[in-house]
Amino acid sequence: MKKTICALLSLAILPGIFAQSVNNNVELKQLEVPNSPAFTLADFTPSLIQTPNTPKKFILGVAQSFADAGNAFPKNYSAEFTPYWWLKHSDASVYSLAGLKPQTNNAGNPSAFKQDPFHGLKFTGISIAFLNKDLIPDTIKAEQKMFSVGVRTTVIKLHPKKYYNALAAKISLWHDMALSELMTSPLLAQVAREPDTAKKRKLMENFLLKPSSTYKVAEEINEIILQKPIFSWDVASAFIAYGIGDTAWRKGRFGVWTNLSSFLPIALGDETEARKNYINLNFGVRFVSDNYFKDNKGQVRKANVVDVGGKIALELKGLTIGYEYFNRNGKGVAANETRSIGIISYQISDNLYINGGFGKNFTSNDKLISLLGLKWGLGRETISLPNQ
Amino acid sequence: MSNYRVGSGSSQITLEVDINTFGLAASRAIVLNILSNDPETTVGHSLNATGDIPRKDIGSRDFLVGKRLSIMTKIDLLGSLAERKKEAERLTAKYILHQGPDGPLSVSDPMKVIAKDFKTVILYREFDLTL
Repeated sequence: MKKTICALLSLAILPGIFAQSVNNNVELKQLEVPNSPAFTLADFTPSLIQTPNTPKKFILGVAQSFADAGNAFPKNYSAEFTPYWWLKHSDASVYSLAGLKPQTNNAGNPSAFKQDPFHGLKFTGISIAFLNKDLIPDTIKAEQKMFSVGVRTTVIKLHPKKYYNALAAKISLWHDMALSELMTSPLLAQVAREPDTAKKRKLMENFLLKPSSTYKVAEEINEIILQKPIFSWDVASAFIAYGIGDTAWRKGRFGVWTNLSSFLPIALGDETEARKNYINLNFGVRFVSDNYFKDNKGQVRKANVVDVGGKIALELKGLTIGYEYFNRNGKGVAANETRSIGIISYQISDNLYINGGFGKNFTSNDKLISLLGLKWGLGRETISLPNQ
Repeated sequence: MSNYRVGSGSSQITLEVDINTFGLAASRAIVLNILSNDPETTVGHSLNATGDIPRKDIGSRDFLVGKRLSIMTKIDLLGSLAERKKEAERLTAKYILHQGPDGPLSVSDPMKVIAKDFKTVILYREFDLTL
């Protein structure tokens, strides 16, 4: 199935690539709430995104980028991070990760869990970029220094009650299995009786080399946590400052995105497939204020633009087929500026997608656009396993 | 390893374990006499996947003196390799013993053994209980 879809999309992709080269105004997914709003507002796709996991690494990364540029404005530096992971948490647990709030009975003992619809707020992400790019649409071809910063969060995330019951039950099963393993395995007593610290460590390392009895359940829990919510409200915002000359900084662009999404699970024969197949309904609003906007008369001026619309899509495992419609309003924007586009996307692997779009975009003069392209996630920092 | 003075008598020593991880955790605490082959005695375990052992009595001073208290926690980490690696480095544990004649003892330095694929971590801490 996967090979067939890849082959069909590969055949279709060739004319799409050439279409893309003559219409560089069109971008796929430009109206979704972006994961990295600082990059999206700057129309920038970084080749390398740093993901510092401590404030110290973040500051060192920024300092290094200035040093690499000869103590001048960095040529190209981008980073994104979630401050929550930088902080120490006294209440860290798998329950807080999954949005499960423990409940207690009248005696004060743990009794059940209920969902915390706002737990996505704590995973608010921040993206920043230092760039050199010509973002002012005038006749002068000169790059500006740009500093872009963005924030993205999920304000509300709701799952059906049976989702939380299933998740709590699966976590409970994992704990019962892991505790049973600790109770019956001789490992703990062996380590306790071993006088040599290095040999204690070796005993535990050998234990970890054996096939885990619990990790299959842990993977099932991971899959449940990754299920899409029946309702979510996402918000993102970003701001760009342009450096004009050596010292002057001007406000460039400001953007706010908001999306209400619903993922309705569908089952296709196998009950377990419901976790990966959805009908996605999406309503979105985007506001962009651009101090250097080129209007439909070709004049560069300040403009505020609001895009309002929605999307309906069928998501079947890695394949997404949908339709997106947005209407654009703003001074200097033609009354009938709309985006009406069919979208198709197929996830080949974790970081590799084939994306396509067919229809009319806001700025396309010939009404019809077609796009197909590959999107891959090779730009992230990689980590290496320790030497074995 | 630490020593913890339990003294003598029939009053109870208490143990509390606080595991700080976003992974799935389970803990067990035992006491045993390392100079004999007598089997270990389980004195506490976690009640859910936080891996925490809520504060509880683990035995009288007379029962515990001369024995070793050992606590082991198994943690299965969730997410991608990068996320698991971060969490394996970040996770911590705190062990608190109460009711000894010298007062409470709190330590946060378990032995941490991480699987090469960062899927599982084992934490281990022991205390020799003295007169």
